[in-house]
Amino acid sequence: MEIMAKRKKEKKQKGQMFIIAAIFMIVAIVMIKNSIGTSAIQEESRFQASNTADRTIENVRSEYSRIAALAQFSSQTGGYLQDFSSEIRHDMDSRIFYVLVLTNGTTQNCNVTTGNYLGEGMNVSVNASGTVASAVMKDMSSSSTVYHTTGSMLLLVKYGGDAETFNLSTTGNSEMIFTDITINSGLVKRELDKSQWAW
Amino acid sequence: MKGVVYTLEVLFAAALILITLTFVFQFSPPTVQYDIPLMKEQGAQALAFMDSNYDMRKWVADGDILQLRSTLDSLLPDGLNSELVICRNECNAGLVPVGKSVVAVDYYVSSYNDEYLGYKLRLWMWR
Repeated sequence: MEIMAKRKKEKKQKGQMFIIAAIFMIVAIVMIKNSIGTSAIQEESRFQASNTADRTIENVRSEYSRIAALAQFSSQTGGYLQDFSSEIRHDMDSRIFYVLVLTNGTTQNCNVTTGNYLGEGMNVSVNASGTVASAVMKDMSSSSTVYHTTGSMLLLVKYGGDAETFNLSTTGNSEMIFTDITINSGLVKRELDKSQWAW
Repeated sequence: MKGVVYTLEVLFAAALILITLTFVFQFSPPTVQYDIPLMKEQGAQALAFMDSNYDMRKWVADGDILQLRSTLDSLLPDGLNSELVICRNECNAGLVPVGKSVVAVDYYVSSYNDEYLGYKLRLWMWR
């Protein structure tokens, strides 16, 4: 009798196995769907968004260089940089710091303009071959200082925890623009760039 | 009788799997989420290409929006609707449809030759 009862129980368990197997299969299907179903699309979306962010930062960076190049024709370049930086800040989540250095070979003057659009007040110091000018710059402000020198000059600009060095010659007309641009369009991108011209 | 019970259990298990499959895969992949970054990239690419290969800056300086739009239309993929404006700060979105997924791309045009412009091109796109 006992053996018969055991066999009956075993046979009943065989039937339940189909349902248990089905439950395992369902769990597996849901897990596979969740892990594979959208991850490929999300990865592609991130890739496209990253490309677009790269294009945006490249566009902004090149426009700074173009504006700086206007210094050959206009004395309003500092104002143009302020105007452009304000527009970028208005349009997107951005943090920008720029340094525009203009040397005049005739007067032997070196004009250093710094712009702080980093989103907070920043201690900025300019060391021009030992002559140090230091000040706390408000957010969305710019400052210009003129240095007189003969021959060459080493310029060290410190802003926050970062620093940038410029080797200058005041024997001719030249300019340099340094930009530190960070934009956040879901993805954070930062680009540092330095361009130089002489004429 | 036992055979009937087994058959019912198998049928029940199979039905359970089929119902789950139908429920899990009833929604199509989130194409809209994918589409938006792709549209943005296509727009940004078209604007950058127009700047590199055409007289885009001159057209912006001249305010020649018709030339800009026709050139852009030839660069954007078919089936993608667009609206382009030249603006500073605030941009008028008058012809952009309401109730559709619209993406916007900005392209800055700060200068042309020795002239400061301070403009940007805002491109809206939708399907």
